[in-house]
Amino acid sequence: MKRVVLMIGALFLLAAAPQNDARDLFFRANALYEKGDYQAAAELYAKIIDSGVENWQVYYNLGNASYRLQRIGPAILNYERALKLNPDNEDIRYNLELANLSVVDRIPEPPQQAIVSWLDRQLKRPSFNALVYSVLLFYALYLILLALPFYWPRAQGKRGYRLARGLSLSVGVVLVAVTLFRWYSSETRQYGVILASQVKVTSSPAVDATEVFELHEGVRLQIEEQSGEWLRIRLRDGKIGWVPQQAVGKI
Amino acid sequence: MTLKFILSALLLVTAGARAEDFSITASLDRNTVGRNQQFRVIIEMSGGTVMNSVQPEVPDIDAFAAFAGSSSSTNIQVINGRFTSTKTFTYTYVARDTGSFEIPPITVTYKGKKYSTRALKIRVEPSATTPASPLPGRGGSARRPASNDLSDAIFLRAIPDKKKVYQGEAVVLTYKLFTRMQVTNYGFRKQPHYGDFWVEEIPLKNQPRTTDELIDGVRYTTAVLKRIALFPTSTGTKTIPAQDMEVSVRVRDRRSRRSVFDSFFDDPFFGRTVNHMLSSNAVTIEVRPLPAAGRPADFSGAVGQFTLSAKTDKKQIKANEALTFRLVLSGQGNIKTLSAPEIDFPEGFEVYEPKVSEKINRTQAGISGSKRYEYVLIPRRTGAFTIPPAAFSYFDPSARRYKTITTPALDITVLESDRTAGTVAGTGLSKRDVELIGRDIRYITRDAGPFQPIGRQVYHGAAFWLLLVVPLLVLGYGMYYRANQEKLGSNVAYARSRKAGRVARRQLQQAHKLMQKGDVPGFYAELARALTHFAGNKLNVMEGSLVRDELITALRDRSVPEEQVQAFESILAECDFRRFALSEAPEDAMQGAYDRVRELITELEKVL
Repeated sequence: MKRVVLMIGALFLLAAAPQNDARDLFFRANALYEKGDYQAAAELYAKIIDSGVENWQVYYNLGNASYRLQRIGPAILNYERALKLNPDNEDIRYNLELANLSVVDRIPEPPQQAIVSWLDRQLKRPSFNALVYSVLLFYALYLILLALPFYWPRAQGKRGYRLARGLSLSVGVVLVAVTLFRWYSSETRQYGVILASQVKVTSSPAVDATEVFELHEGVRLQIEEQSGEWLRIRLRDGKIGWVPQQAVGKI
Repeated sequence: MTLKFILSALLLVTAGARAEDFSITASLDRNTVGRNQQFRVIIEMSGGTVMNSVQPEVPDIDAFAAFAGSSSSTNIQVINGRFTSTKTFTYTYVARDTGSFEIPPITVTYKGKKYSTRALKIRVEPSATTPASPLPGRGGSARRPASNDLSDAIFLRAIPDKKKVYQGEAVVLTYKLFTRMQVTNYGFRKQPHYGDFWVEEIPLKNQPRTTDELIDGVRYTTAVLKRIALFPTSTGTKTIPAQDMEVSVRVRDRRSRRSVFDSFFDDPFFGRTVNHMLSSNAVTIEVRPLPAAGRPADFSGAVGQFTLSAKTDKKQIKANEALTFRLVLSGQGNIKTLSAPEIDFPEGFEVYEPKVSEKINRTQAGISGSKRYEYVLIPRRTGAFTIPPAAFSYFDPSARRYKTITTPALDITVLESDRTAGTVAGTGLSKRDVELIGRDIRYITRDAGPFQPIGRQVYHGAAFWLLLVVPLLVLGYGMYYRANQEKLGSNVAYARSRKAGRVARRQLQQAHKLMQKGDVPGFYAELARALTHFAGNKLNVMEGSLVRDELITALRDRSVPEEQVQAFESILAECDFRRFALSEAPEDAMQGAYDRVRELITELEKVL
C-alpha cells in the first residue's frame, strides 16, 4: 500500500515538469492561431503531443488549425482524438461534423433502430474516466454502507439504510455494465482516419493486389488487423480491404 | 445546441434540394410512324419555380420530318403544401422519309445551368403499311380510274384571301369545289406538305352549304369544303402544293342495260357512281419580312391585332396568402405561339409559374382567341407594392407598323399576417431567418486544462486506488471491530483483561495527582489499588477477594517470571508500609514507587 502511494506520488511529481512546458507551448500556439499563423500554431500543438502529454484541448485546437490549413484528414483525426478524451463536448462534435462535410466519400450508415442508436449515443456520452470514477464512487458507497452496521448496529433495522444500500448496489451494477461495454468497445476496436488525399484499397496486403475501392482524405474507418506495413480496414457500411499503414492515422 | 445544429443542417439540405428539383424529359407519342403521318415530340419540364423564360430549342430533324406546329401548357399542382409546376411543350412533325432516325437531345438553360434530355429513336415506315385515308363511301361501288372528260364538270380550287403577307400573318386558304354533277360523297386525300407554313385548320359546318356560281356562262354548284389558316414561318415566295381529293359523282350511263335486275341492283337512281380524283391548283404566296424599322426591343414575333389586360383578384391581402394575377392577351393572329410578356414582380413576392389557358376561335376571317396567364403570387412582406405594367409588342399588318400595348400598374397592399411566418405550411422560404448565413468551425479553446501523459490509463491515478482500497479498509476494520465487541460482550474474563491496562493507567494518573498534592497515604493506597486491580482484572479474580497472597499464587500459576512476582510482592509491601507509617515519606521514594509500578504494569501486560 505504501509503495503504491509512493509510486503515485512520484508519477505526479514527474508529470508536473512537462505539464508547465506544455501549458507554455499551448498558450504560444493559441497566440499564433489568433494571429492567423495556422501553420506555426499547428506545429506547436504537435510539439506538445510529441513531448508525450495530451488533453482534449490540444487535439481540438490542432484540429482547428489543420482545418484552417485545409488539411481535412488531420483535422478529422484530431477532432476524433479530442472526442475520445471528451466525448460530450459540443464544440468538438460541431467542428467534426463540419469537417466531415468536406470528405469526398459518402459512406452510408447502416440502418439502425432509433432506440438502439439513441442508447449507443447515450452510452458514449460520458468519458471513460468519468465512468470509472462513478463506478468507484458507487463501489465505495456500497462498501461503506455494508460496513455501517459494524460500527452502528442499529442501522441494520432502519428502512432508509436498506433502501440506500439496495439503490447504490443496483446503480453500481448498471454502471459496471456500461463501463465494461465501453472498455470492451474501446479496447477491442481501433479506429483510424485516412490521411492521404487519395488511397487505393486493395484486396490483400500487397502492392500488386486487386484494387477493391478507393478512399479519400478524412474517411473514418475501423482498423481490424495489422500485417506488416498493411492495415486491414472496415468501413461503416461493411466494406473491407487493405491499405498501407502510412495512409491512416490511428485515433 | 446540437438540436439547433441538426435543424439548420436540415434547412440547408432542403434548400439545396429545392434548386435541384428541376428536370426535363422528352418523349414521343409513338415510336413507329407511317410516312406523311404526324408524330409529336413532347418535352416536359418540371420542378422549377420560374420557368417563364425557359424555352427548349426546337429539335432539328429537318432531315426526315417537317415541323407542323407547337403548343405548350403549364400545370401547377400543390403537393404536400408545396407548389410544383410542370410545363409541357408539344412539337408536331410530319414524317417525310422512311427509315430509322434519331431525334437529338433537347437542351434548355435554366438558371444558368444546362439540362438536356436523352436522344429519341423513331422509325418511319413506308406509307403503304399505313391505311390510306379511305373514301367514306359505298363499298359496293365500282372504282374506276379518273376520266379526263370530267375535268370541266368538276374541279377543286384553292383560294387564298391574300397573295402578299408578312411573315407570321395568317393567310386563309379556302378549298372550294365547283361541280356541275351530282356529288354523292367526297373525301380529302392526305394533306399536302405545307413546308414553311404553320397550319391551323378552321373547322366548317358538317354539311357544306352549296351556292350557285356562273363561270364563263356556265353554272356551277359550289361548296366550301375546307378552310385552313397558314402562318408563314419564313420569308420569300412560297408555293402551297396542290391538295388531292376524291369524289364520288353520279354519271348517267349510256350503255344498254343488260337486264332490268342489273340496273336495278347497280343503281337505283338511274345512274352509276364513279370515283373521281381531283387536284386543286397550287397557290403561290409572297411572304414579306417584317420591317426592321421601328421594331420594339421586346418584340417576339406576334403578328396581328391584340389587346392586353391585367388584373388581380384582390387589392388588399395579408402576408403569406395567395394572390392571383391574371394577364389576358387576346386578339387576332397566331395566339398559340405567343409567349407571356415578362413582368418584374416586386421584391418580396413569391411567384409561381403561371397557369396558361388558351381559347382559340377559328372563324372564317382567320384565327383569333385569347391566352390567359394566371400567376399565383404569395407576398412575404408587408407594405404597399406595385405590380409594374406589362407590355406587349406586335406587328399590325393592316397598319403596317409595330404597336406596343401596356396594362396599367396595379397597386397591392400587403397587410400583417395573422400567422407567424414560420407556420406557413411547407413553403420553407419564410424560415430564412433561422438559416445560418455562413458555416464555420467553432473557435479554439483557450483553456489549457490539465495535461496527462499519453497512454495514461485511469488506474494510473492515485484517486483510483484510494477509492478502491479505502472502502475495503473501512469494511475490514468494521468487521474486526464488530468481532471484538462481540467477544467483549460474551466473555467477562476477556473483557476485564482487555480493559485492565486502561483502568490501571487511569488509577496511576489519579495517584500521580495525589503525589503532587502531597497526600502520602492516599498516594500509596491508590498505587496499591492500581496494581492489585490490574492483576485482578488480568487474572479475572473477583473484586472482593483481591488478597495479595492469592494474587501472587495466581500470578505464579500463569507462569509469570519469578522476578516480576517478587517485584509485585515487594511494591505492595512497600505501599502497605508507607501507608500506615507515621514518618514522612521522601519525595523521591514516592516517585520511585510510581515509576516501578508503571514499569511493572507494562511488563505484566506483555506477559499476561
